[in-house]
Amino acid sequence: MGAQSQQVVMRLLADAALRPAALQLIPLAAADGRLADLFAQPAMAELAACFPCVIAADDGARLPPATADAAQAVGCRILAAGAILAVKAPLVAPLPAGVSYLAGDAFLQLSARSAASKTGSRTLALRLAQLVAADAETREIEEVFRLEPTLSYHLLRLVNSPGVGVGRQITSFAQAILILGRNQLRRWLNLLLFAARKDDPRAPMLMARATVRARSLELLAREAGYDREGQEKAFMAGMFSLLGMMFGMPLAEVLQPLRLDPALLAALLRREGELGDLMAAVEACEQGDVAQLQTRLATLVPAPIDLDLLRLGAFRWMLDLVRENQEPAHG
Amino acid sequence: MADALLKRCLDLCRELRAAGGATGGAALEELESTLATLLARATAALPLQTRIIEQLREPIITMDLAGYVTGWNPAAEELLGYSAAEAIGQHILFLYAEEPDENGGPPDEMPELFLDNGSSFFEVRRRKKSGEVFWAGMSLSTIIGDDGEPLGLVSHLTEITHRRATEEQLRLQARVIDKSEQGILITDADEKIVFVNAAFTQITGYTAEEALGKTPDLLRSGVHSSDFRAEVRAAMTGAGPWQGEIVGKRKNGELFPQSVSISVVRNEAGEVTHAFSVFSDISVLRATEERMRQLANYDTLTGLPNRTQLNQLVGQALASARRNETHGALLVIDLFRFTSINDALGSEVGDALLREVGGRLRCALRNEDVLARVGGDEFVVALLDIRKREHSAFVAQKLLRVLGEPFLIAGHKLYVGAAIGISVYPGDGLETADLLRFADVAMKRVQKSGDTGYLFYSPEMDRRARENLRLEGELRTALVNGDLQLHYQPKVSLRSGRIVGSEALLRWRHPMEGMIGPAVFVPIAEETGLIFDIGEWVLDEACRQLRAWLDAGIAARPVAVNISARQFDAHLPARIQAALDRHRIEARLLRLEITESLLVRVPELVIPIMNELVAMGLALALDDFGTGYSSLAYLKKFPISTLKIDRAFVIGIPGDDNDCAIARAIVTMSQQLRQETVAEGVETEAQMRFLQALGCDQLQGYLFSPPVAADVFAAMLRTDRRLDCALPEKLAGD
Repeated sequence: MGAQSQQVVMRLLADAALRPAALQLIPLAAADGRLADLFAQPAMAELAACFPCVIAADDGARLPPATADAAQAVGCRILAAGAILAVKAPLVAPLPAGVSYLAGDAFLQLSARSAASKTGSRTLALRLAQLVAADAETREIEEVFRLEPTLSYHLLRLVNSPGVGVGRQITSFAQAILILGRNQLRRWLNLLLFAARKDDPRAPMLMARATVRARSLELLAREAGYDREGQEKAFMAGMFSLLGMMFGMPLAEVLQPLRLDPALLAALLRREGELGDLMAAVEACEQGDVAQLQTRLATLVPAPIDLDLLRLGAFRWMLDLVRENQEPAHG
Repeated sequence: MADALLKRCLDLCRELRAAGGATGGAALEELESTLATLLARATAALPLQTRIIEQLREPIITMDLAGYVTGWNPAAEELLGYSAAEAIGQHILFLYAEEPDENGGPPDEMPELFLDNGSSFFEVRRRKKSGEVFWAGMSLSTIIGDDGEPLGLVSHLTEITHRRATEEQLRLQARVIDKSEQGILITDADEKIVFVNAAFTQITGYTAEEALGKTPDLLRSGVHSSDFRAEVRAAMTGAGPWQGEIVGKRKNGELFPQSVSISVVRNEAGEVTHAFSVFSDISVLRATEERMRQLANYDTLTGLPNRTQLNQLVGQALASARRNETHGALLVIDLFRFTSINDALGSEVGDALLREVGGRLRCALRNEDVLARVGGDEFVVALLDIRKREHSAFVAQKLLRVLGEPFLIAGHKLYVGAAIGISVYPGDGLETADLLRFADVAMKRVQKSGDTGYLFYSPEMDRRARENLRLEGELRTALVNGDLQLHYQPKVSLRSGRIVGSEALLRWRHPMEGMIGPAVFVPIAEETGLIFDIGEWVLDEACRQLRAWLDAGIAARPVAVNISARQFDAHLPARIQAALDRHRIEARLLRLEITESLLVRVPELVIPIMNELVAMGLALALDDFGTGYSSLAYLKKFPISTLKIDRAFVIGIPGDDNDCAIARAIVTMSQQLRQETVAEGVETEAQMRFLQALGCDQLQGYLFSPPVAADVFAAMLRTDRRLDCALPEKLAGD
């Protein structure tokens, strides 16, 4: 079994308004000549053309000159020193001079009682209400749910609740939407819009991270030869994995009303089973833990995977989807 | 504050434990009083509110922010019928009533969308436990916590029955008027048109915008006398109700007869405020009447069309067959023994027999088939639209069957056989006279043989029809005798090489001819409707097999079964659910493969059924994608999760540029729609490599395995047999 290929860690940076603002590429210490290959990929160029891709000053300084040139040629910017601020505690505005981007988890930790975090994005709920009013295709509605962990969580919880749902195990968001029906969906969204008065300022970053993780897992499941249903399940696992953090509650408690597939639950809570291995692999990839990545994927994927490309694809997918759903509804 | 007191209690407990006897007394005392304070506060604060809510006569429901019920007072129980225990924890949606009608009117809860300022009142439909639906006035507000964050929602319901009932009635009336098939026109005292309905527009061609403000002269044809017009005018000004026929003129200038009734509406002072005319277009009726007169040439004895009419009907059908390439057949039927019966028992018995024969034949045919009596004992059946010409053999056989039963006439038990000759179009020709003559020739051949029976004019046709008929009979027997089997063809992942599922394929173990493939018998089953029963059997058998595998401890993978368009009706979801329940199978283990022909049927009917199937947890695959006309835009409408690349394209891969382009297009398309692709009929490594490079997900084909019996497939699963699809070592830069 060949080694999985990962050259960089990719992480999202926020701007002062806490919105996703750039993709930071952090070359791994072990990165070799193949790093230059990454910068030669068309996917890299395409992403850099539509979203800022940046390299921190010290990382940039360590790159061989040819690689640094390749990075800049493809559209990645090497930042000035101090342009990225790693946030350790809740933030005080304004940002210190010279800081363009924020990194880190600290400012994403929510107080357990933030109501906005629990009702989900009002913007996307509104977008959904528009889609439902325009009698959009199920597929379009599903895409919005795939962007928003809180809304999709509530959707699944709803179709599992007595009196509304059907007591069937749900395997896809499309299935949940179809079970609920358009009328109930519309009413539910209206109520939700009433309850959620404003968007949580931290939501865009959390959402972006959850959906990129979900998409990465879906793509990885695809590489591992899972069928559509298995890929969908992997997506769901990624999507729901940050809910504990988002709700400020233990994940097990959050997931309890969903009656998830046992394999999905084992993966989410204990990283057990094949799906658990895939999740752990994606997390390892987020951290740049190549050893863990190799272990978890050892028996799951038949051939080495270029994880950098896979992650690029996931980021690109998230950005496209966000853009699509921020535009005013057509019609 | 409460937190501080609780913390103090804990400290006191710790002190007590440490102190043992000495200072314990004082600490114990303090602990007791602190707990008492807490208790008093608790009963004073929360339950006071709760008690107020409990005692309110108004139904109050509280919810968390996600809409789950957290509080439910007795008045709510009284109004809605659910106890607090039943309601708490449910989502408030369980109370929402279904829309009164899905198409009409703006949705009732829409105002909720625009509520932005904390509290509001609006009217909604709600459902009681008893099932009764009522209109409720509902005020919804947000409960805001100390920190300014919303904590939950509180809803206050009142029942408003009366007002809504009146409104409902008005709405109903307005709807009746607008949806009426009769045109309705209302004029005011100045004879200006103030209202027209949809039927008005449909009949006259004038839209409401064009008609409003004009006078009814808009429709004046100019064919009526001034006296007649004065009469109508008088009715509109209140001379009394009037009914009659008026010739009107449509927007396109065409004249049309209409049946009109005119009445007026008066105000309290007795003055005419409005006149309304209700009218229907009777030109259609007129046309039918005229045609009836024209076609009055019926056979007086049997009431069936005669030769003249037959010629006319067949002539029309042939004209359209030339344009639309439809198939049809003419059957000439000659009764045996009729002449001898007539001679021996008299013409009264003979006539009665002919009437009976006509009746029986008519009953055996579809409404759209033509039956004519063209001579003494000669009948002609025209099948003017059949899917396959061989089909006419089934009809011939059915007719012979009904004629084979004895006729009881005037106390005689009469047996008549018949000879039937069949000609088909366009194969034998496209002229009525030719076709009748050919059918006659074929009929004479049967007569000559002396037996009751049928023959096609074309010997080739005859051979095919008979072969089909034989197979159909045997297939029916096979279904009953259990001679049908399912074989399973593995689908393997092009990434991991693992078996991810299978397609169940029908095999017929024929007692004489050995295994027969579905290509031979499925078309016949489709033709005769037998496919419905076979399809049901397949569903049940696939579920039974899955249960057997599960019971044997085999990690079962999803099995895909083919669903014929014939099976695809509104009851399909229920029938599948029944099969799943019968064998205790999860829906996700069953996949359904449908063909593109289904998509081109009325999507408004097909999509809801598909949605229901997907809601059950079944995944749908499109079997022969690329062979029909579906475009990406069209495909998007359907909840299909898998596209199968037809073997017809796989064959040409990688040599044929066209086939490669089609395969590439399908894979790209499916990726856009997040569907998976399965290539069928993959036989070579080169095909596999090409498909793999395209990003195709799975393959099915002889390269990995042909369809195999259930036990062989189970063995493959047990040994985790894999396709060797790993890319050759060098992969970079590929």
